[in-house]
Amino acid sequence: MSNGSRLLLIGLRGSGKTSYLAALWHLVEAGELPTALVTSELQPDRHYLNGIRDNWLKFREVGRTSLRSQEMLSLLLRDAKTDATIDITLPDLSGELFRLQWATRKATRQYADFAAKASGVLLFIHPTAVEKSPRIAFPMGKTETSSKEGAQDNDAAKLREWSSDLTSTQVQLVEVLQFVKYLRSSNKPASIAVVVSAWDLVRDSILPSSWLESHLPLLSQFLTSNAEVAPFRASVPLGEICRRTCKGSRVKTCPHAVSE
Amino acid sequence: MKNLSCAREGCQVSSTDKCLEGFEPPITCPYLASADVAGAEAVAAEPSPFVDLPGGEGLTEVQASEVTRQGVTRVIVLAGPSGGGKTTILTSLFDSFLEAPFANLLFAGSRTMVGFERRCHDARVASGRPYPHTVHTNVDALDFLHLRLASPSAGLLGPQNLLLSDISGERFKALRDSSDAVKAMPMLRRADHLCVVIDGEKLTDASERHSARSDARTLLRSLLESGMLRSDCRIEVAFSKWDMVITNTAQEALASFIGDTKKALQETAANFANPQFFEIAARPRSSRVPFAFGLPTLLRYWLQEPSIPRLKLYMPEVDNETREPTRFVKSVVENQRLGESYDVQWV
Repeated sequence: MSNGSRLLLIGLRGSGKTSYLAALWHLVEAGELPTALVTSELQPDRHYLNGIRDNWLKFREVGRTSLRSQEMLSLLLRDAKTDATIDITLPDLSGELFRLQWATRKATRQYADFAAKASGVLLFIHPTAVEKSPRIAFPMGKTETSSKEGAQDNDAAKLREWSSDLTSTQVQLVEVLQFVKYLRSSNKPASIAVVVSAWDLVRDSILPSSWLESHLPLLSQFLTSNAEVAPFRASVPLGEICRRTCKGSRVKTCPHAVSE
Repeated sequence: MKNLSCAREGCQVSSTDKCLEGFEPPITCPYLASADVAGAEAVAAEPSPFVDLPGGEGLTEVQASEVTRQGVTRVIVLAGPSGGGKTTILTSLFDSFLEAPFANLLFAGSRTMVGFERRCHDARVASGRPYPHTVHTNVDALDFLHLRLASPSAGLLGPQNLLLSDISGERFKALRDSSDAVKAMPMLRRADHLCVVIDGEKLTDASERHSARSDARTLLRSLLESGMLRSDCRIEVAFSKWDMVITNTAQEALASFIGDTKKALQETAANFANPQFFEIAARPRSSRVPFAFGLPTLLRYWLQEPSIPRLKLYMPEVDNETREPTRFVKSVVENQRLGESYDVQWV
């Protein structure tokens, strides 16, 4: 297994990591469609994979597994042509781990180990779960006041102290990727692929990379400028169960996402 | 049972033994791992399940000098009295990169993401403030914020590090009054740029403008005379809150005062370097001036080639068949500050 790929799934809560695994497991296991990847005999978490797959097939929420019910999940696949093994690891089903990394500046030892050894990273972003933290736009008509007057208008009762929970999605994701870089230290950089899940929810007909550029500009700049150390692959649109637009039909399920 | 006390706001684990984040047992929560655990002996027996990640706060002088050893780094010291807009320059730079590439540069990383986020908070909607504000820099603070910036057309040069000081106005006041205080700031020796920030709003006030000018002069003189700055350190003077200046009604008097101020500062720095002047409005309160006005020019200036004499080497021309050089290396020594270049050539 050491000469195969080891992929690490990263994403904040609700970014579609578990759905991705469920859909992928269904495709390779059911054999309804020809896939580039086939299932390996020894599946360590078969029981759990079947569980999330069943939910996915019934259009239920796949993940949002009660916190910490399962610490991590692995899916072992084999490339049908080259016979190379692919180990896809989801270190935390809830995605909470990544928020906690930003908030507490700690990573579990197990995660640090995965990050150091991974050959690639799949970064998941759900288009409707992108939190922003906008600047205060200076009110028009209130312009040209002295900064002292402005300061007095701030009502002490309504003020909120800074806390790590108020951080935008893109800042957290950039930091999580910087952590991966930090944990790998001497190892060569992992290649990063961005997966925009539930692509059917993005109404504009644009490329995923342009979507990233306009919705998560800091992350997009970070990925572009670190291209020499971590090649930025074009995002793979991953169809999900889409109740809103397709009334329950499964659209654009992409089995090729992992085979890249 | 161990006596646990958690650093997480609102966590009652010490009284209820229930972790707010839902960890069972509570000791596996990373928040607890960062707090002081009263029963530390019991915990020390087994290795912590967590690995420490970089803190992301402003860098100390020691941490900042680590960055300078790891690649091309520009160190910028922002100097000036408190409330003059030094920290707002930092927050507006970061906020600009959050929205789009800035000054034709791409954000390539930062070791001080938390430091930036904390400082930007009071100008964000989430702070609950009706007006943007910048938190006052702690009197004792001597922090550096880090940005790694890259050019979109990569070229030959990779990303560059930028270290920007966040030093309180009070500390600079002490510098102005005593040369010993200057020597207690070793990073000054490493500074590529010294940027003196003059509060533009004070220049519009007839009762404050003279002291603003003399404060800037005295500060600049004490820094230059301390002998702490490198001979190739560049000097900038940034007039902050420029929106206040251009919207002022007494334009003529103001323009002549600013002209005199520039002359006075040029004289002060005459034996050292020719200061460059910049007009900025990092977070303007007037719709006549765009957000981060003047910062792209200042940022590009900071990242320019340094003014030290540079030796440019050209590869020798090589005969394709014999692989022998047909010409010797041509080298050009340039001194950008003097505007001279010495062409040394052997053919």
